Amino acid sequence: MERSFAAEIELLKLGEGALFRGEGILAVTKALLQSGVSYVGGYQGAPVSHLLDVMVQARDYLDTLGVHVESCTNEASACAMLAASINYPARGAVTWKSIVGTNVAADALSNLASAGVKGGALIVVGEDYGEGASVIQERTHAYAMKSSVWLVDPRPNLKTIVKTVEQAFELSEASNTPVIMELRIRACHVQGEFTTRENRAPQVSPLEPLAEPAAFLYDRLSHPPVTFRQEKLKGEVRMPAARRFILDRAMNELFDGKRAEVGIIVQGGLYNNLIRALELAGLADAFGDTDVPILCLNVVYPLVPEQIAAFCAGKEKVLVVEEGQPEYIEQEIATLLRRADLQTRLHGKDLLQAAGEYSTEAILAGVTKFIEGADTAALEAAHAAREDGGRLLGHPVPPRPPTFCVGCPERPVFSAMKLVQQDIGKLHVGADIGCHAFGTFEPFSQGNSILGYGMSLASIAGVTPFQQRRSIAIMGDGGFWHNGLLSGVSSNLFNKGDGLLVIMKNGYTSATGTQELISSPEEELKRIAGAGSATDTQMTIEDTLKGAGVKWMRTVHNYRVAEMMAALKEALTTRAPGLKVIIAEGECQLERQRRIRPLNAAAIKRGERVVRVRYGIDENVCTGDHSCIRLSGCPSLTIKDPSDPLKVDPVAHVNNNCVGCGLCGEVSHAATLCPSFYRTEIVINATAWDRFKREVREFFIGLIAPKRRATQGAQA
Amino acid sequence: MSGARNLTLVIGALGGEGGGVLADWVVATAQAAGYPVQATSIPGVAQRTGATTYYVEIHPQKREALGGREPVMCLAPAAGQVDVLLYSELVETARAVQLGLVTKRTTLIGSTHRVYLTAEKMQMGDGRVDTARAIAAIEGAAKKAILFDMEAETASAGTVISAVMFGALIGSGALPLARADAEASIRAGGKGVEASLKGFAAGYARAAGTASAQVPAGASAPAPATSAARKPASAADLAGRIEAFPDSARDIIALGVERCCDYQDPAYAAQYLDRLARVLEADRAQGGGPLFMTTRETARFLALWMCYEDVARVADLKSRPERFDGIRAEAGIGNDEPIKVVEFFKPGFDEVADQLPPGLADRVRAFGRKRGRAAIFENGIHVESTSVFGTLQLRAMASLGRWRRKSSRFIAEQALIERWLAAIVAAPSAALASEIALTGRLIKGYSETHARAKENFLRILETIIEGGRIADAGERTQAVRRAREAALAAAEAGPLDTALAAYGVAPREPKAIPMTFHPRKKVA
Repeated sequence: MERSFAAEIELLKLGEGALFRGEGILAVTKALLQSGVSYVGGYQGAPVSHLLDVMVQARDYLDTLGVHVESCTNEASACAMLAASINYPARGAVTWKSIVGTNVAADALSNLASAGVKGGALIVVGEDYGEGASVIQERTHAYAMKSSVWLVDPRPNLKTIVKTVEQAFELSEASNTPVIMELRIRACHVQGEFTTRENRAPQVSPLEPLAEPAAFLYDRLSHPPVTFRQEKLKGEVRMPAARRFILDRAMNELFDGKRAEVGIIVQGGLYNNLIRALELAGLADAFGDTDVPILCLNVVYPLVPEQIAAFCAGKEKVLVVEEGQPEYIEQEIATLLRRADLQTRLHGKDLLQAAGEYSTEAILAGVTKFIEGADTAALEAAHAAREDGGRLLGHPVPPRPPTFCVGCPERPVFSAMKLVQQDIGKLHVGADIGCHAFGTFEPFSQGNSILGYGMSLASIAGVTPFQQRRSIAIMGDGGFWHNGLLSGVSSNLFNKGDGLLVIMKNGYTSATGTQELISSPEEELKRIAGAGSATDTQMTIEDTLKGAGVKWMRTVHNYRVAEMMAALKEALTTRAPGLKVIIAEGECQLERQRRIRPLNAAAIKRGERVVRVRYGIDENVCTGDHSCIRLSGCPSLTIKDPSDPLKVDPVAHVNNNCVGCGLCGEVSHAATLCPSFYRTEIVINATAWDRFKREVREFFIGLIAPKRRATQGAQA
Repeated sequence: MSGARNLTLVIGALGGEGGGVLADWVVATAQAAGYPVQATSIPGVAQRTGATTYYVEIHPQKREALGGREPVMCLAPAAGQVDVLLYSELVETARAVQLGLVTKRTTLIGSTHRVYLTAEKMQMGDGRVDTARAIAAIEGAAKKAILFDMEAETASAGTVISAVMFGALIGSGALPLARADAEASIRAGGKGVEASLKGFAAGYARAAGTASAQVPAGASAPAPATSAARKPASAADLAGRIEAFPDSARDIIALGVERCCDYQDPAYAAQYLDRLARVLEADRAQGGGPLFMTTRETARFLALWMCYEDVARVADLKSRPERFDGIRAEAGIGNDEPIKVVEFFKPGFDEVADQLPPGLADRVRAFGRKRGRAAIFENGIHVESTSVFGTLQLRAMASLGRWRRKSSRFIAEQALIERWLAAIVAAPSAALASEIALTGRLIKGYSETHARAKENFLRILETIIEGGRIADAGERTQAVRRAREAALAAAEAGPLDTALAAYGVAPREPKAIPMTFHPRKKVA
């Protein structure tokens, strides 16, 4: 795993009345333990990865509490875990990134929602919407509505988040319905504090196994004929119970203000931005003391009709601040107002932007239209700031997308693909989710579609038949186990499809923080591998594919670009029928470096001989055409001003971040690029033999080599 | 309602620069002083070398003075509402200006060093963002700009850039945070404390001592041609001839002469000067302008072109003893550790043919074409230049330089150089002559890249320079400039073809790609 949570695990152990200072998502984790969860599961993905990562690392402690933790293979398996709460009074929580994870979990979610739960069931989703989002833009809200599960959206401060987690379990139990908690990306990463309570041991736990399973009760099955009864229960029993609970426990908060003729209804998660917008408009202060009454919905589904009606009654108009489209809450409020025969005017998406994050400025734009006489100076200042900035710069600054890490084993595969296409022509490339999606950025620009995690092979099933050349699907090992094996490989084999699947076997789900997989190298393999790649002997993927019936399969080490090119060419031109699979093997460089850095440091300290490898470029041989960069894009392969005053264009340069992966040399060989690259092996703690060899060599070289020049034209 | 508003701080860093740790330090420092504080971020996948931002709000009144009231803190910066902006890289700082985060309310603390974007690095020419303009924009937008090279301070302290940034933040005095509290929070972090504190102190000193912004002179301009270097002894007789050239071109010409002597011999340098004399004459006839730009730029690219990198030249450069000092310096090691240096060569039939006389060269090329590949060895060769045998190999290759004048490539290059010079001399205006001289910049690269570069050069030469396609000299000047810029922007033919199409030049035939056939029917 990328990060150690040793310090955070101590926070999880805090008892009654202690001060927790840390990240939002870890506060949620602590709140789960304070709520007495029996089991926790989930699938990693920003911004909720840390919830599960810390739990996985805290397994020893959780075992003492009797909390079972599972690192699920995808969100569907995580959601299905909540079935434990259908029959037993066991509280459970699962987590994933939304909207994508909720899509994957949707089948299990519908079945869970229909049966209803006995023990509290909570789904913590990272609502990745707006600026910086790494997924498609949709709202989780629709799932809550269609499945009749409740959706909480707490104010983004640790106290409210923790309280809402605790209440969500009670709400779930009071209404026999699972609850989803949506946390926006910045709320997950917010640093704050709250006063802790003692962790509660779960009511049902592995510490005291049940003597008998739950009795057979057909009502708890999502199966006809009871599914129709369950559908009626949702509206007639569970929702009214939920509304009662929300009202009784005052989950939604009213912040009153002197401008009684107007009001704002806001999703809890947007409350802080709304307060800042009101402050800038001269309608509130830094402490949330507001002129305009606010109804803050910490529960955004279901709404409580009486509460909405009571807030709107007597007001000329209300503004609904609801992020994303469509405006589900606003539409529901419109219905409620109509039914209550209230004439309060309703504003929302008519004054606020339809799509995108509701930043302070976006809300301020709406508020200043909503309240006559509101101060618009800050809004004008924001516009002016951008205009001035653009004018001062002249040209827009080019974007800086993320890219493969220094020494990433996936980069050489894209180098090879680019080179192969120069020979055999352009190919249709099905891209996928994972680090390899960086191959869609410059300098590779590879990929025709992305259809979801592990979907690349399935996404070219309809393309391959009408292509003159074979199509390629790129998939990570994370995607392979998440979905790709079933949706892609088995479907292709069953349909006797063609095409080439390239699986990046780097050993981890690297993009989400290098979590482990079923095919991650075991500790023993890592120990044996030492400084090498630990993934070459882990054969779970190869064995699985063989077992499924893949006939054409090659495993190629990523850094051998020429071999990778040969394998790609063969796979793309062979007359062999059926699916072709290339396993591009090379351990995630982050994990490899994490392992070998301490090993090397310790060896150097012990005085052992260690060889450090780095690459370099002879500046006076480089002509500054940058073709190496167009085939690599490695962050450590960069440019600098030429020291040769005759040259005007920057020359290529390898900086000291180089981990010596060898791609530079491989590419200059495979592409017949240029002779500027060299490899340096630096011997640390050299032996007497090393030094003797050096002296002998230098003596003889001194006889052959030219004389040292006082000044040399363009040498760096 | 009370009037105090929260102080806002935006931190911008690249993945792996320790931005998260920095935000934690700021939070701990504010907490130590008793200020309500909140920080948040969007790390996610952007940690993989992309740009990440961290946002911190600090309430200016201490908690004890608030009587239990909690300020509401925002989770994202708003344009025009940023008090302090602390960024680790120059173009990212410029991006903050573009986003409206830097205004006359903002104290800006930023590094002047660059971490180039892929889009800047991958061009054939120089695709870098104009840093002088960026610095001017940053200074123009901010209330106060504290700019210095944080990377250099980081390297000398042996720490991570976040420590230097933190020091600069506290040193700037823009936030009510105390140095002692800040250093205590670094110590509490527990990792690499001494180096972090050293970096912190360096950053603090730079920011605290900075009355106004420090701008490195000419940060973006290519290294100016400062020295005329020492004239090679063998070229002493050439020195007098250099004096005959105008002042503004003399430094470049001196370098060119030195390069030609080093590359071949003084006679070659004399030929270089002969060629330049022709250009100078034409330049003078056109009025030359005070700077004689045509002569100067021709001198630059002519020297590079005449000293083109062939196998002999590369082997010579790679086997010079002073080269290994440079390698050690770049790797940051002294003379103690033994090193092994390995070169990557993949000689093609073309490179071999280049060194042979024309008749023989043609036969080698034909043989290569028949074999259907460019490289002689499938896997390329590794030469260990720190070994005796490797040095022998390199010196043997270098010795081919003696017969260079007889080689097919030399003859071909000289012919093309003459064509280029003829076009410069024949140009009807000084502006056009200078543009044609600048097309010499296109000649670069090795093997296929070089072939493509030369093809682009020739296309420009043949279609719009030499022919009578564009009669008007002004329009022709502009056409040449546009074509050159297009060819330098991208390696592919596309942009140049588009640029030339505007003048009625038909695009090139696409390169033939061998067809592959697959069984179309599904196999039962």
